[in-house]
Amino acid sequence: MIHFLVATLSEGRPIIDFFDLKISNNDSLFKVYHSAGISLTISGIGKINSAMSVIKTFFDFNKQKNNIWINLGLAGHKNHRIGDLFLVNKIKDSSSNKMYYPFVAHSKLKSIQCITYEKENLDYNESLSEMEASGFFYSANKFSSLELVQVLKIISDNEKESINFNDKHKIYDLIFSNKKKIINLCDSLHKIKENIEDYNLQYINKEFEEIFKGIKFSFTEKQQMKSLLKLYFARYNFLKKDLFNYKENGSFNIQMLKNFLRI
Amino acid sequence: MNIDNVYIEKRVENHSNTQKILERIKFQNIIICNSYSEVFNPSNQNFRIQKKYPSLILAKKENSFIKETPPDFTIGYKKNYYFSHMLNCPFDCKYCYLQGMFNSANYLIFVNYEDFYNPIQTLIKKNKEKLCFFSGYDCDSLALENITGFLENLVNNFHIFDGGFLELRSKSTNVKLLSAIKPINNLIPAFSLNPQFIIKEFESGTPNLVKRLSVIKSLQEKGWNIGVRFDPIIWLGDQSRYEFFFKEVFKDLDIRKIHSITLGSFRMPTKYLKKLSKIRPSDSFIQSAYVQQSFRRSSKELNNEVKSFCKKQILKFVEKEKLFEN
Ligand code: SF4
Repeated sequence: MIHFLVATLSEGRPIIDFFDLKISNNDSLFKVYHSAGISLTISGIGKINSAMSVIKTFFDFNKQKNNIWINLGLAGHKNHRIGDLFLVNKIKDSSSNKMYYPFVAHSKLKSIQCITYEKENLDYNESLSEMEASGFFYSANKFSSLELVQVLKIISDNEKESINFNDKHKIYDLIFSNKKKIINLCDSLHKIKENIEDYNLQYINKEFEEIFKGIKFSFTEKQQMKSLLKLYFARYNFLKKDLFNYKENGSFNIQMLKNFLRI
Repeated sequence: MNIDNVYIEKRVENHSNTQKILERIKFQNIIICNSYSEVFNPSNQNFRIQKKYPSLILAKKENSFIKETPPDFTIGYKKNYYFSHMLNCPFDCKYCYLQGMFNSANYLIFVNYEDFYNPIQTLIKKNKEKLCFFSGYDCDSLALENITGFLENLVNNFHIFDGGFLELRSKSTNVKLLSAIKPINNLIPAFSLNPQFIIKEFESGTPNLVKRLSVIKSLQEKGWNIGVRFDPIIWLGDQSRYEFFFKEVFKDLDIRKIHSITLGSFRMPTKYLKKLSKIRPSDSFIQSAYVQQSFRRSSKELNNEVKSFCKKQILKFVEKEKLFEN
């Protein structure tokens, strides 16, 4: 699943339209839209809002680890052209001076560093200026591997000019004109996510809970059974349910599976 | 080699080796960091993904330049040390312990090569016995030589190893530099070998057996004494295939120009194996090794059987003084 996070509804509108998202709640705190496989959360402005909305989204969508997270938004820069899109390769939090390094090696998009400020920064420099990335990244990287957490920014203002931030149509057009790049990024993130084969682990956890509902396992036995199941699924596609004796305890069933796997 | 992103520690931005490395590669972005650990160490990153899209990190090593090897690790010298000018490797062996040891698969190069030399010299001077140093413990010594230039730098300063030995262990056939210079007695190029069917299944991206053997042969012809490493020998049963393999290895090599042979089985600390089992969940070799280890089922017996079979095969061709079990 891909979770988009944007600060304002104007920035979210184009995403709602690209993916035909429907509102899933009218929460007064954070509005969330979704369709199969995509969600969009409107975080509000600032890194704290952004971090909190990641947590809210994570819990709203079944606490799934290793989903794809994208913070999309507008940013200022000294001289880059309005409308240019960048992946962020380094985030500096201006108040804590803490650095984060999003993974950008999978993408051919131009990448750049950014500084997350507490307040609007008009003192343009060589980094993008914005207000959400550090909170977003810190928070989303708790739930997903670094490679799946991306910050995507579109230039809205520079030393010479700025868009009118009250002009919703202008913001829509800026983001909409980058539609192809945004969709390509989603595709490439789906592809790299395939390397995290945790569906296997998730499947094993689910199977475990289902099959051994009535059987008591100690903590260690649970771990042992899961590692045996991992080996089983590395060798076979389907679990033969008659491998186990559901009237017996955990340790008996561990032994049964060990015998089957010749361990 | 195309590496799009290069992370550089601010303090080595102007180091001459940094500049040379940048001249040798094509890259898109330079990203300056304070310390390599900001990029290399964070825990929630994925080794498998980074293996596919590696970046380069150029940094300065501060301390612990030289470390002692585990006690059994030897090629005939009593005191053994290792050092790593680089962490990680462009190859992708299934059994590689670096996957369990590091969070990141990015290539980390310590560009302050010169700082390795003093501790090496001091150790050699302090000890009466001959010391042996191993390079390529946390990387492959030769695979990225075209980028690092480490070996070239080392060869130009090789006097520091007077009174000691240096082994360069590799699966790479990138031996241009060694072919071009006169053999150095106390420098031992060493090549890790496994049967071709194992290379195909377990050692992704590495040169095949024929290529490795032909490189060993050509270096021997130039006068080099070569280390032959069956470590780890990956065992999938079927003795006849291994018997054939040892014959294939030794039939063309000049036995007199073999410095030493080592034999070792697949082994890994449980902590690393646990991590490998997590990032390679559908690999039955890794899962099986992890399960065996976590049930504390000693695989020693099997390993000993395998080793003694391999030993028997090797000793058909080479005298036992040259064989070391690790
Ligand atoms: S060649 Fe050595 S360092 Fe490289 S992946 Fe293989 S085992 Fe690891």
